[in-house]
Amino acid sequence: MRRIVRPVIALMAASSVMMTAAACSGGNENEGSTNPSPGANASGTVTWWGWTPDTPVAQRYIAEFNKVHPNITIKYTNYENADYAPTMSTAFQTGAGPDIFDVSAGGNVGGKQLWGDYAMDLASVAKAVLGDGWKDQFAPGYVDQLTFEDKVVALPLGGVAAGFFWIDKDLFDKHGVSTELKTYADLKAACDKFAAARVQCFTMGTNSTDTFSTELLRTIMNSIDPTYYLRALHGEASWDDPIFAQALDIMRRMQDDGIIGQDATSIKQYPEANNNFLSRKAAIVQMGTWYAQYAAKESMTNSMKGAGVSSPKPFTMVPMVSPDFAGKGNVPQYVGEADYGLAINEKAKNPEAAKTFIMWLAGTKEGQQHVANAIDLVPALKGVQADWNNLGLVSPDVQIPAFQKLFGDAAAVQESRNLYISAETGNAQVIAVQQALTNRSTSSADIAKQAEADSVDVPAE
Amino acid sequence: MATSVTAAPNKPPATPRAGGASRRRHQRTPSGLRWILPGFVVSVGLIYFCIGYSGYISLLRWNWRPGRPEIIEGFDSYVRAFQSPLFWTSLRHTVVFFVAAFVIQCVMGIIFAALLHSRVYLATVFKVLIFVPVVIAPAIMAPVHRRVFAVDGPINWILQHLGLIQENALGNRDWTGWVSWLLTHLGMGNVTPNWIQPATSLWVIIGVQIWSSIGMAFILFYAAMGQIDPDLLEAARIDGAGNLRVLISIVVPSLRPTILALAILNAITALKLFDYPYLITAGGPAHSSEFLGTYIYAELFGVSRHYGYAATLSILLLILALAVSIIMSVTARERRPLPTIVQRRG
Repeated sequence: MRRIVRPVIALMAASSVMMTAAACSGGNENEGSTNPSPGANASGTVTWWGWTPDTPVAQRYIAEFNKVHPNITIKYTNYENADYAPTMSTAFQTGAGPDIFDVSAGGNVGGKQLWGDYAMDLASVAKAVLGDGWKDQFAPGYVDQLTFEDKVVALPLGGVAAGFFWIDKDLFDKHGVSTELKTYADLKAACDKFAAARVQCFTMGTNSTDTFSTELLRTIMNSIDPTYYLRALHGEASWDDPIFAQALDIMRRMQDDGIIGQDATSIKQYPEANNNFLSRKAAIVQMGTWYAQYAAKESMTNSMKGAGVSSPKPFTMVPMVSPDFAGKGNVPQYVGEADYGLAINEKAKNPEAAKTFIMWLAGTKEGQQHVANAIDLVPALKGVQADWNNLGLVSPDVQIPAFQKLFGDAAAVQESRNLYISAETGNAQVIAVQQALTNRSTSSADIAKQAEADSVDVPAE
Repeated sequence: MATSVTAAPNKPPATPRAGGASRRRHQRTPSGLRWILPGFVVSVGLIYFCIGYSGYISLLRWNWRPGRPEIIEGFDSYVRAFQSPLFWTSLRHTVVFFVAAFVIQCVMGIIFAALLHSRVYLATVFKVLIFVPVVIAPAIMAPVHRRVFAVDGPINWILQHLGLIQENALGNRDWTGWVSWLLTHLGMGNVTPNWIQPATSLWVIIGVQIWSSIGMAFILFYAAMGQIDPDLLEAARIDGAGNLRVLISIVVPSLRPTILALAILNAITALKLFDYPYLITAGGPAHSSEFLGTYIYAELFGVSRHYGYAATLSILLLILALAVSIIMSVTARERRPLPTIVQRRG
C-alpha cells in the first residue's frame, strides 16, 4: 500500500507544483528562477533544523519569505556543530525529525552520507519549478555534490571556500603591522609585533572533534605540494608521506615561534577562537567565506556582544591569502564546494510548505539575493551577487574590493573541501594536529603513520 | 530491627472449597504482584529489553542506515574492542580516575566531616559551601572549569603571581624556579602551564570531579560519624587517646561500611563518566582524557556511527560495572564485624 501511495502523492505534489509554477511564471518555465512561486497555496508550519546559518540570518530569510508566503510559518532551530549529528540521529530514528534540515556535501556534521537516507529526492520538484535544465542554473557541480546515490538530497543554498585567513585590519594598522604576509618570515615578524603589543597574533582551537583545526594543516600541505592532499584523499598518496610530517613540523614551528597560541590545544574553534577574534584579543583567525557575514556593522555588533564585548565597536575585517608556509613558492589555493543545502525529510509533516520554502530560497533570484546579501555563502544560483554597496559594511572602501575578489575566487575554486574526506580521515587528522601540538616526544613521522593507519580513503567519483 | 513471620497458632486446618484449581492458583499468586506490576513492566520491559537489544546490536556491523540490512558479525566487534588501544587507554583512565577520586574523596571527606563535628564557627555555612557543588549540573560548571584551567585563566594567574609561571616575549607561559627544575628532572620538561594537554588533562577531569562530588562524601561521612556510639569515644578519651588516635582507631574503622559504599559509588561513576570529559576536554587532546563513556559516544554519534561497535563497548561496560559491584559486595560480606571493645574498669 505504502509503495503505491507514495508515488501517487509525489506525482500529485509535483503536478501541483508544476501547475502553480506555470501559472505564476506566465508559462515561461525555463526562466522560472526569477519568481516561480512554487506551492503558492501551501500553508502551515514547517520545522527547519541546521547548524548553519546563525539564527539572525535564518530569521531574516524567513521574514523575507513570509512577505511572499504569509501562510507558512517556518520554525528554525540552530544547533552547535557538535550537537547536530547526535540530535539528528536520535530524531530520525524516533521519527521526530524536522521537515527541513541542513545537508552538506561532506564532513562529519551534516554530510550527505550521514543524512541522505532520510531526505526525499528533490530532483522532480526542482525540475518542475525550474525546467529541464534546472541543474545548469546552479553553480557548476553544486547539485551533484549534494546528490547521494542518485538522489538529489538537498538543493544548494550556496557555496563555501576556505584555505585563507581573516585579519582584523584595524589592529594591524594600529600596531603598524603590514597586511602583506606572503612568507612564513612575514607572518613571524607580524606575530612578533603583536606579541610586543600584548595582542595574540593567531587564534585557533583544536580541542574538539570538529575538523576546523585540520584546515591549517591542509593549507600548509598545499604550500608544500598543491597536489598532495587530493592525491592522498583518493588513495594515490599515503598520509604517512613526508609531506604530511613536514606540515606537522611547520605547525610545531609555528607554535614555538608564538604564531599558534599556547591555548590552541585547550580551546575550540567555536566558540573560543571565534570569540578571541571578535573580541579583538587576536588579530588573525582561519575561517572560510562564511565568516564574511560578520563584516557588516549590525551583524558584527551582535557577534561581538555574543563574544563578551560589552560596548562593541565594529572593526574592519578582511580576508588574507595564506602565506607560503613552506617557502616553495606555492601560495595555497582556496578549497571549496557547495557548502550546504536544504533537504526535506521523507516523513515531513508538511512537505508542500517545505518545498515552497526551499524552492523560494534556493531556486528563486529573490530568495538567493537574500542569501547573497547575508554574505554567509557564495550564492548557488548563477547570476546572483551580493548588493555590496548596501550591506552596511564597516569600511566599504576597503572591504568591497576585497570581498568581491574573495567571492569571485571562491566561485571559481577547483579543489573540493570536505567532499572526499571520510569521517575516519577527518578524525585522524584532528588527532594528528592535537598530537603534534601537545606531544613533542612523538615524531611527526610517527604521527603521520598513525594518521595513515586510521584513515579511510574515498574514491573519486 | 529484625522481624519474623510465624504461623498463627491453633488455626484450624484449611478445608478445600469449591472452585478447585483456579482458586488454588489464585491463592498462590503473591498478593503484592498487582502493586509491583507497573514498575516491574517498566523495569523489565524497558531497561532489560534495552540491554538485551544492545546485546543483539553488538553482534552487528551497522551504521544504522535505514532500510539497509545489517551484517551479523558475531563476536568480531568484541575481539576488535579488546585489540583496540583506545579501549585499553579508556579503561586505564577509568582505573586511575577511580583510585585517585576515591582516595582523595575519602581523605578529604573524613577530614571535613571530623572538623565539622567539632565546634566550628559558622559550621552550617561551611557545610553548605562544601555541598553546593554536588547540586550544580556539570553542564553549567563545565564552561567555568574550561575558563578556570585556561592558559590565561585564574589558576595560571595565581601561579604567575606566586612567581611559578613567567610569560616570555612571545606571550607564551612557562614554569620557573623549582617547578621547572622538578619537571625537567622528571622527564616532563615539555609540559607547559597549559592544563588541557595530554600530560595533565586527565588530572583536570579528576580534580573537577573531586570538587563536584566531595560534598557527597562529606555528607555520608558526616552522617556515619553521627552514628558512632558516644560511649565508645568517651571510653577512648578516658583511656588517654588524643584526637588523631580517636580518628584513626575509632572513627575510621567505624566508617568502613560508608567507605565501601563510597567505593561502589565511585567505581560506578568512573565507569559511566561522560559529562565532564566530554564538556571540558572532549576526551582529548589526542584521547588523553578519553573514558569509556566518551569513547562510546564518539563511536555512536561522533564520527562514523559505528552503532554495533558502540553497543559492544556498552555491553562490556555493563559487564565491568556488574563485576565491580559484585566483587565489592562480596568483599563487604566477607568483612568480619569489628572486635568488641572491652571497657576496662578502674
